[in-house]
Amino acid sequence: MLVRHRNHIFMNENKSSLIIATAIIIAGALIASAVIYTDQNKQVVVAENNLDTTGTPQQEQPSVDNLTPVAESDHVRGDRNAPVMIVSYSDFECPFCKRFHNTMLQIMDEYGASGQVAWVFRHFPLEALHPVKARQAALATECAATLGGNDVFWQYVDRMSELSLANNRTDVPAVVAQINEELGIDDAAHTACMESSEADAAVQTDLENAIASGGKGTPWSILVGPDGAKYTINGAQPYESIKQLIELALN
Amino acid sequence: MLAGVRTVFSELRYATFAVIVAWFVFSLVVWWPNMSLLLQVATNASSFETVQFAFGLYGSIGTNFSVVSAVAVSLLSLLFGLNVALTTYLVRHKMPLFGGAATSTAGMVLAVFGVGCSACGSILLTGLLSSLGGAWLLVWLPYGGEEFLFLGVAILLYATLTLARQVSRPTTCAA
Repeated sequence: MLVRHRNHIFMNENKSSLIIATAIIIAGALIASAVIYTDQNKQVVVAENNLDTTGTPQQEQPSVDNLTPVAESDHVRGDRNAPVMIVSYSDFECPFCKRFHNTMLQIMDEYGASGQVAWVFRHFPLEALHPVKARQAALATECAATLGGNDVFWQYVDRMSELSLANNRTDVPAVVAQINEELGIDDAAHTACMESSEADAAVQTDLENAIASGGKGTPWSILVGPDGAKYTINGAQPYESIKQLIELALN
Repeated sequence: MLAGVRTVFSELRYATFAVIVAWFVFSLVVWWPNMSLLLQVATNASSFETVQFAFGLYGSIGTNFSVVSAVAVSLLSLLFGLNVALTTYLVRHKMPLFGGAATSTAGMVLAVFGVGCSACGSILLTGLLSSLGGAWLLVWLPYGGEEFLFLGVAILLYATLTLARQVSRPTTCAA
């Protein structure tokens, strides 16, 4: 009886040791892999996006200093000479971008009219996560700008953000047709634009700059203060945090 | 099992320790994507403003996480706090740990892989898969990789039960 009891304890201890060893091996392997791969490739999300138009990997070391200065070609909401610029890189199929879009609308309501803050919209379609649709939506808004100018671009972006179902579930052609009709954009011209290499190059330029400036996921934003100081904002941070950051930059 | 939990957390220091660890893990998960921003604010603003900003970032649990992953992250933090407190109790009382501590480590690591995916795949798993050319896999995972977070929470729950049972198990043979 005693021998059987001892054997039972011995088997239990063996089983537990096996569990410990297996768990340690799994944990160790996962941590090691994570460290190795994240060190090798800081631009985690967009490794598959991290290609130029010829498919050649970009070797540039990511840094917020690589942020392309705001230019005439940029889509700006508010005063272009505002002391605070928030450059946001966004993906229409990312649910967090939809939330951050609303946060930014709230920010512009408070700081846009007084000319304190301007919002710069750039594209960052995460094709690894949202294949085809994210880029299609980006192209649609880009072509709205080409055909209708800056104001139409922002109206298009607002509607696209409202109508997108996110997580690659949007019926992009249907949404595009609906917005085109609402904003009075010529469907044929818009389709031709979306198929053009110019529109694609504009989206690709934004995407590459998002990666070069340190973007790892969406939404990725950079707040540029009056003194040129850059604050990187990763993800859809709440309104209060953005507001506090703006106040900090302004003061 | 419940007796084990009661034994440990009836001592104020273990209950406090569990809460502190849970709060630390929760803060780490919420602040992690913007740690460099937090440091930048800390160097440019007053201590009060920095604390205010850090607390403001807690709001991102509602904006930067899906509802499911926000609940999972909260559970994860709580379970991790319980795990660490239970493990500390067992070690201090020279009781055998068996697989509990290792299982909780595995649970935490798996959960970390899932956490990043809640913010459109911004942390480990997506990077790992992308580097291996398997980012397409995320599209086919129904929860976009958050499965790892749920699995981590489940493993941590199992580890907590294992450790709690260990506390209530007698260390000497009954006569």
